[in-house]
Amino acid sequence: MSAPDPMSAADALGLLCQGLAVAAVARTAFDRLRPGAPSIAGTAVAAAAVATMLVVPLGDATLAMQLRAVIGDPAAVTAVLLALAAFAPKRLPARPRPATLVGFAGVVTLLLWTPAFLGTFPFGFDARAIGWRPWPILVVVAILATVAWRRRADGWVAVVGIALLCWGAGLVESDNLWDALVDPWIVGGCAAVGTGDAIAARRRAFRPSPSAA
Amino acid sequence: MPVRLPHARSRLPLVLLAAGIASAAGRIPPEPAAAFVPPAPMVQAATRVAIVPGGVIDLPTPTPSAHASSIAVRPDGSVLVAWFAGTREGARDVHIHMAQLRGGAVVADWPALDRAQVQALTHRVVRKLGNPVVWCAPDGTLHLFVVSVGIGGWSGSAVTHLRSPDGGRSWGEARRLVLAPLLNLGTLVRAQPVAMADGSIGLPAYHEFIHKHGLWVQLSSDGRVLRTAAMHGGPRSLQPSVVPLDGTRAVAMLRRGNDGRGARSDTPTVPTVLRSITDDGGARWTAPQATEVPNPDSGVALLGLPDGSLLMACNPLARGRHVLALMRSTDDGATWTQAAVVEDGPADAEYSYPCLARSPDGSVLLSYTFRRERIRVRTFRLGEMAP
Repeated sequence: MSAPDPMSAADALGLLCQGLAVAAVARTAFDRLRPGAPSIAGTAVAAAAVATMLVVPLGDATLAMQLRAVIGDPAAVTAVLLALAAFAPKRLPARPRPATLVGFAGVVTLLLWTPAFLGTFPFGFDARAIGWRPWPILVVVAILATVAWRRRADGWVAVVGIALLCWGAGLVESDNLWDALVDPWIVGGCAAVGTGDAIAARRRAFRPSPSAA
Repeated sequence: MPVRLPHARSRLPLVLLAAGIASAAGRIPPEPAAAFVPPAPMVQAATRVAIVPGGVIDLPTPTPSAHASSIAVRPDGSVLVAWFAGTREGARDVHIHMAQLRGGAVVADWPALDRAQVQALTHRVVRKLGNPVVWCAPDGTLHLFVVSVGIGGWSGSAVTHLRSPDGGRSWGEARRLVLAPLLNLGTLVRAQPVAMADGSIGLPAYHEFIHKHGLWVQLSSDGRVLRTAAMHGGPRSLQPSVVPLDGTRAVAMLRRGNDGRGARSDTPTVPTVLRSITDDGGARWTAPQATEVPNPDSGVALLGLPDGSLLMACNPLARGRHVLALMRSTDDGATWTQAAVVEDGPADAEYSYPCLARSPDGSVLLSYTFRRERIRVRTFRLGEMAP
């Protein structure tokens, strides 16, 4: 294994996020398998997962470096959610309504990803390019966060605030603010969870009540 | 009956949000200059320069395969050529090799960067390297942009920017450019950067994950992305090569991408080199338009000459890469005439991936892949054109 060069803060966070991703999965699985286990046990499982990813080698790199080559660095928003899921799952922000989740995923996909990957920018508008000098994004985020605050979605306001802090401090590799706010994992997760919740709600609505049977 | 007071709501989330917005605002760079360093003063407009063939240099071949060369001219008058070398394209042993030329001869060559080094510098697994672009900024800083792949084929590429403190012997600072929105997949480089008026770097890049199109990237001198502009619309295109025409106008010539339906061989119309222009310092580019120069899905190189004309190295064929020629345009790349045939071999030969540069003595340097076996450099003198 080559001796790693001095690490930037963004690289350090990027590697830590690989550990957090595995830790979040491990902690979720542990809590489901051992529902009565003390919280400290779940925390230990998560910490062990992070340590394993950062230290254990596979080939000529650590597990975290291997995974980083595959899934990249998550957005700072995702990183905060992963950290909460791994070490403080009860502090995860409340799940928004299905329509909000699916709508968010759809807007991001249409606005940011479809143009870049199909090479078609309607009216020449490149939303991703705004992220390099993202004053408009900050204004929109401030407005949406204020709305979220008024609706008592305090957890999401805090998550976005921490993500912006990370980007501003140079802890995020990308110079584009979009990459601190959204990534395929959170968008895919929103689409999947939102769709699942909507289907479940529809089934509940059409399920005959016991008194009618 | 006790009175229940309303639960005090923590203001911490709002404080975090305000701090986050303030922090993010602090990272936003100032508006970069949308202006190029204008081309050097031209010879009298009525004088056209002639292209006169000069010497041939075959660069050292330490490995069975060599490809994708790039030329940088240093302030001390020496010339650096970088290419990727290994057992074959995409192999794990591929490294970036460099040679230093002075006075028309190779004075040194060395393995400049390998996969393990890029992996250690970027703290992520790198499975293969490709397309080095070496460039010397006007302030003398030597930059290297190199394509690396962590997973999959070339469409899974990303670009790493490195700077060397010692003329390419070592690379001390590396920064991975995050240019694509989906896991940063599918961004590559091939052609030389362009100096911008404010000291920033204009880097012609391209995107080839799902769709292929050119991407203009403006970077600060330390590799921070300041602006991107897609060369979108038109047919599939890649590997833009850019030459400024003046302070705000530039022309890009692009390789015509295979459209996946047999553009190389079966399309009724011959695929051609594409052209895009900007008149606002690279902030926006026109949709690439077809020229009359055939292009078999192979790279092109562009260079501005002192008489204001443009020189393009390309394979002017519908199929194959066995003919390499220099084309000349006197109307900013709209029309082209053949200036010289550089190589003309059997149909299975390959002379490809050209790079053009002006040497310190004013002559033209052309490097290219010679049958995937080695990198060949040819020089062309500029003389006054016969009346």
